[in-house]
Amino acid sequence: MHSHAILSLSMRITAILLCVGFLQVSAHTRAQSTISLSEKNISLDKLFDRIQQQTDFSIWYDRAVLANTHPVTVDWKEVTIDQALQSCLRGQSLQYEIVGNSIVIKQKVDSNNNSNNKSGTIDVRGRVVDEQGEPVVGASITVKDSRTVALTGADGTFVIHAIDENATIIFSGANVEMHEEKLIRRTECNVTLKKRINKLDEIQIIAYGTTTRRFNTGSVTGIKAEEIEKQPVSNPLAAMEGRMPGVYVQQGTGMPGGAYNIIIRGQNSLRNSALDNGNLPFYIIDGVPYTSSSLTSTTISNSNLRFGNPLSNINPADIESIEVLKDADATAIYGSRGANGVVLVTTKKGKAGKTKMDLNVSAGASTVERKLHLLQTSDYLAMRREAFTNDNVQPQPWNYDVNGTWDTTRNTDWQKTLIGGTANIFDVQGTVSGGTARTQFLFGGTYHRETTVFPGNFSYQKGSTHFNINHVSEDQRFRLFFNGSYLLAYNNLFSVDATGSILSLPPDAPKIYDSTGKLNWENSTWRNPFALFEKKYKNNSDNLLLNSLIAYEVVKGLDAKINLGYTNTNVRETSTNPLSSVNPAYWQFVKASAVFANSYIKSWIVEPQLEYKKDLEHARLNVLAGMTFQQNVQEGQTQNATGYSNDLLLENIQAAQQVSVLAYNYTKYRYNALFARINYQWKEKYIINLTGRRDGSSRFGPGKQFANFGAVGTAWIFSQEKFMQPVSPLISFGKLRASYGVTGNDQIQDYGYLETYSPTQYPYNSYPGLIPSRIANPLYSWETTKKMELALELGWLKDRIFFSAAGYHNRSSNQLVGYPLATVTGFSSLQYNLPAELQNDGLEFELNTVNVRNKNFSWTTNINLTIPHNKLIAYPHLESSAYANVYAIGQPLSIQKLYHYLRVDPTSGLYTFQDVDKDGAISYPNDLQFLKRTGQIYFGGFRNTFKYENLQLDIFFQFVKQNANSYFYTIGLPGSMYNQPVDILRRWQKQGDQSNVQKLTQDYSSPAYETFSQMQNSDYVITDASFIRLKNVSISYWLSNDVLRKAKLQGVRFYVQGQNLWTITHYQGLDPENQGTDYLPPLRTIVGGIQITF
Amino acid sequence: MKHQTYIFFLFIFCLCSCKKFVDVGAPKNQIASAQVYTDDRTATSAITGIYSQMISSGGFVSGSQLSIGFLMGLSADELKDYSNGPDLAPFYTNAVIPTNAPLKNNLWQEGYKYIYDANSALDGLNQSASVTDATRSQLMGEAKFIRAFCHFYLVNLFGDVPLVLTTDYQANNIAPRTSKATVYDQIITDLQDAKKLLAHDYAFAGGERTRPNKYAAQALLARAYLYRQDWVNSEKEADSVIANGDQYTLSDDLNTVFLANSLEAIWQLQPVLPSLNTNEGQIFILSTAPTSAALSDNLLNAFEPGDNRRKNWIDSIIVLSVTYFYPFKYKVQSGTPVAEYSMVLRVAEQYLIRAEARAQQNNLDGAKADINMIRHRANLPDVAGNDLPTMLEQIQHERQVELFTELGHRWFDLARTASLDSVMTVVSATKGSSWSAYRNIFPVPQTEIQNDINLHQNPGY
Repeated sequence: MHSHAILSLSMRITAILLCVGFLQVSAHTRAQSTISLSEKNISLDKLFDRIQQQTDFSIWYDRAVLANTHPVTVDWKEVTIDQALQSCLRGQSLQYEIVGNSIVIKQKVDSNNNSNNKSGTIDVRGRVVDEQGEPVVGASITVKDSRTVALTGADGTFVIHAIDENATIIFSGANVEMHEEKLIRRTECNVTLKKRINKLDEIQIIAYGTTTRRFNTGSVTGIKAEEIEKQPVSNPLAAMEGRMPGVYVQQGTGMPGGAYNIIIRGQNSLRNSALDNGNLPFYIIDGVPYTSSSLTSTTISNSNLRFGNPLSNINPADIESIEVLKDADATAIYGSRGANGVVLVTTKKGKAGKTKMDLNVSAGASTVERKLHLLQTSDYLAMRREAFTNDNVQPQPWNYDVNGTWDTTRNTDWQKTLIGGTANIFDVQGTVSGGTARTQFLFGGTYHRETTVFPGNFSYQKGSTHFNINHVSEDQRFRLFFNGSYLLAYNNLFSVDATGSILSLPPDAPKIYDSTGKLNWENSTWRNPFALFEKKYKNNSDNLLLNSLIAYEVVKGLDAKINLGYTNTNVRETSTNPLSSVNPAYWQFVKASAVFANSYIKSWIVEPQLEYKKDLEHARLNVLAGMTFQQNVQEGQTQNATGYSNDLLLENIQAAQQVSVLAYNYTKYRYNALFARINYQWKEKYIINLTGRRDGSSRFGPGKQFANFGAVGTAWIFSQEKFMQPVSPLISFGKLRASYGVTGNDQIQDYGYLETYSPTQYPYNSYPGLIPSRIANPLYSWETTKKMELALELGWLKDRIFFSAAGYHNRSSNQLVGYPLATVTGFSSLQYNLPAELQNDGLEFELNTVNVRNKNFSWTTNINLTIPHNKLIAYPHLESSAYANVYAIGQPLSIQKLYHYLRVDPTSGLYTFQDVDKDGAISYPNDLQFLKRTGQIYFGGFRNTFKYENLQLDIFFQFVKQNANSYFYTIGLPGSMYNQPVDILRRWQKQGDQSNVQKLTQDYSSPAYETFSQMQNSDYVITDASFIRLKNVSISYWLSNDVLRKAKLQGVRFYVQGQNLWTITHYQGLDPENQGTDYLPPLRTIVGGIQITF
Repeated sequence: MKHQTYIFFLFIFCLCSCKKFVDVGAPKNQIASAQVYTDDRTATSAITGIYSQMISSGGFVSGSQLSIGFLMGLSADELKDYSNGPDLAPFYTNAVIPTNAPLKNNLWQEGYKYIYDANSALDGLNQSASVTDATRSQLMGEAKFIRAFCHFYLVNLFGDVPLVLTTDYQANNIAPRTSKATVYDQIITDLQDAKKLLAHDYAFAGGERTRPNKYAAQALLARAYLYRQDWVNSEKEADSVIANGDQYTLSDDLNTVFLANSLEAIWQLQPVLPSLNTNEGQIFILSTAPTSAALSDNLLNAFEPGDNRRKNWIDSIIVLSVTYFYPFKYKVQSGTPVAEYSMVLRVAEQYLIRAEARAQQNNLDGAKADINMIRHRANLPDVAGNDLPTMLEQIQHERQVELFTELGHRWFDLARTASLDSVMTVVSATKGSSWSAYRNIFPVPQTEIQNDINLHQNPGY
């Protein structure tokens, strides 16, 4: 045997020597001692190569010992060499030894045969899965107070030998939260771990797929359910305010169900009015396009809801995430619809695991946060009398406020009376979700009710249900996802926002109700503002969204998919003008009337796609190709009904004497496209992403329907480079990315290229009437936006500090505008491709830091900042065009051309302005030479999240630097029968007075009225509307596990949330966000609630 | 598995072949222009559509408070403003500025919209092969009439204005002003054409006087010649209308003049708005203190004692012991049935035109005869005066009290006879404003000057 032993030894030595020749023994001297590696079915020799590349270890082995081994799948994130080797050698009948920087792999010598026999020790087996039921690969299992370690394999299973039967084992891993389990003599231990995903590796939803922040080549920002749920809002857009760089969201009115504006990376289209807006983003909900424009009737919803917003019909609580795609790389695949950015809404899905029931109930209140300082009666009357004196006339019989007709001792605070109330909010949500590894489901329902701050019984109610199911076949090749949601909303309001009455009512106006409790008309001397509340506005809408994705893996790596979607939104509105809203003195001349509007939009989409994924040796390839077929049909009519005999029957159109159709509209839009994307990743360092789309839209005339769009996106993860290794502990992630591409904009009215006649509202001489609808232009085509972006993303200290900076530069040309025509042509505009070019550029910064993270306490901070800028680059013959006095080359689009206010002339008491053309008069347009930029100069948000044990506190500030029109832009003539802000107390009164408020007048033909009008067209009205707003505070408290176990609950959370709590601003007006004085400002809301999970 | 793949690719191929997918055709709420002039009924709708707009717009000749009749009534010495608002008050104080809203929307823009509609109809009718000759002739006549009618008011409101005879927006968008004389030439040419094309009676309109016939064209022609001081032709055309005595006669009862299809009517606009008679009835008749306008003292004082028009065509209301007078030509404020139509052309004006044309040709007796027709109906004695200046003054006076608050006659009469300055200087004092001579025409709307590079503002503004 001795000789045999010698032979054996010599053979071993030979083998080792031979190995020296065969093995690539690297002499790396890297400091890195942990390994991050993700490989599927890799052979051990290749895996060892990878380990050697990443570490300074050399691995020695005899090729023969690998003969009977099988390939392994690993997913390591910063595991130690021990953990790595344990994991890949488990079940391989191999063992290893580490000596210095060398590792020797050898056949396993079974030495633990009697481990189980040791007294009090056991072998423990088990499986570790995540919340989705997916195995957690590479998780480490350590035994408390010992050095025993095991790792989970590709299927999540583990074995750990000979440990104390009462030991506590600790599960941990790169992407999961730490978990402790006490064994108490158990030999099987299956656990489910919560995922803790590195921000970089979180799934990021993009067009037609997903990626991660690490590998994304495009510019995408988003918020998750967790952030949406902290905000007591009823429109998802509200939850986005201030939280996304490059995205400016503005609440148009505080009315429930009202308007929101959203602008992504600036204004790309010159069409920017409420009814013809070319700057709306493209919304996609679970893969299905959703209308960007509101369906409410333009005849009745402007003066209260400002036309509303279509996303009001999406329940924020159903949303898992909202992603906003910004640059060409992310949006070009949407072709002609992507120029203004894309908002992807993804709804919540069921997760595998125990069936979970979740109930969330909250209630709260809203009020108007800020108040205008207006004149009291004494000052008001003094103002009026002074105006009459200045005009050298006596109050006339109809000047009821000053001539003694009204009780001049009255003093009503109309702000308090009209908008000083408290709105109540109640919200309840319930969901049931769960499923197995292959089939998951979710079913949820919500009811939301809020009232208003106006006096009276007005409310907004929404009820919705949401369900989905996800199934994967046993062989994992067939996948089906089906999702549906249905929402019913009932908005019971009144037809004109009474906020506008605050400034138009004198403080000594008569009392609201007479002694019998009826509306007081004070002998027909005033318009009682409470009459507005008699005019009801009811809006019933419902919204059905259905979509499904069916996918089949045809051959390995090739998926054939089809995305099907259907949406149906109906809006039914009623607006009434009852006799009760009219002064009885006029009852014999007016008739009660009502307007009925019904409209719907139905759309379907079919998108067959092929996706091919291939992992190459050092690279990863993903190719997607598909087609889109989409149709939207929109139809609506508005009917006017008059001559009701009784107010109570107003909502019954049959009770009307006469019914006429005010408007009927019908549009059919069809869209067809072919798209493709190729994504190639090399060594996880270099990524290139090519997208292209050929688009056809029915909005354009024959020959102009099709166009091509495309983009290229690249990324370089330079932190993977060798030269970054020395600083890798400090800079853990670094990526540079750049993209360039072309997108389009087809947001114009349908049929604009067709020359048509439309029916008139009323027949004449027994003939129906027809009139030309428009001046048609069959030649117009897309607006195109060329987008360029360069961005840097950096992670420091294991990504605890994450910073990104992006610069973008977009140019929009071929501007499709309703080009204003001289009305000599018969029309005031023409749809036309203007040879103008706009540029939007800007810088966006985001900084996320984990300031403190330990067992009991964590504190994270997010800051984002956007500095947008746009300007008009080119506009041939601007000076002779219709926009001569609107835009200026080289200037932002948001400029206003104004007169330049000088002072109030101490002699005449009138505003004076700079007479640029020196013609002795302030004349239009020659003296309109002062450019003032309005709109946002920079904006952003600042969020801090504190977690202490079971308590979480979120504080979010929104900040905006901007200029806007002050209330001087909209106030009535000071001295006339309008109330005024207290600023006018500083008015000029007598010769020699130095003031910046001119003398009072009540005469619309006086020179003072003319200078007042000029003032409203001057830089006098431009004011700083910057603000810092404590947008959101949210406090949550979770009951501890001990309590929950006793109560047999999975989770209980108590919370208090506040929105728009406090604003710092110098703005002269009600609110710096929605501005002006005609619409209710965003409300301050505080709610409290409880969430229980069973 | 293989066949599933094939099915999938076949599916994609099928969809690819739908090249026509994005062709959606015309929407169902509109009709392609080419389809409008394919039959008589639809073609007629394209003309009645214009009248429907005219009466329901609230501006131009609708009779509402933003129409020519009301605004010129304020501007001249007929109405007193009680609106005290930025839209109407400047008309009253003769201080209209180029950015005034009704100036742009209701006077200028609306006039040119109807001209476009008329030109579009002329294009369509010229190209159509399937509209019958009789209908084509009538409709072309109406289109030309409308074009002349609108140009007439535009030229009198604004002075030299762009003359628009095509639908070519590129040319019209840079149209310069055309001299007043050339615009008048075209008005007369259009009306002469219309006179030939239009029917003699109202059978084409079902007997309703709501669409212009040959005599409407002649009546407007008579007025156009009068304004151009072409006395011979003016007399001739007025003659022809008056001679048609079985169709047009002065109503004996003043209270029936403005009834629908009254014998005095040459062309009326039929109210179409629900539950409403004429807009004039709606805005003028007061049931409480006026909120827009009431009659001025100037007008009230102009009536001779015993004038039945003062008694029948003016009414009053007392509110808080103040008496407000209002025009009461139209008796119905609102409601159904529709008893009154809004008068545009009536035969009384033709007598006054002929009187003036005759007087100017020194046919004073003829003039007297015409004036006396009008005076006798108002229960007034024969006209006095035997010299031309007195006669012209009498005619002017008679026009004032006969045609008050109808389509701005008073303002245009003062303007065309160069008496605006003298009258308005006095009237301004009562209005508490001041008069400047350049205000005899209105400023061109500001946005028009912005949008049409060849348009320039009227002097003084």
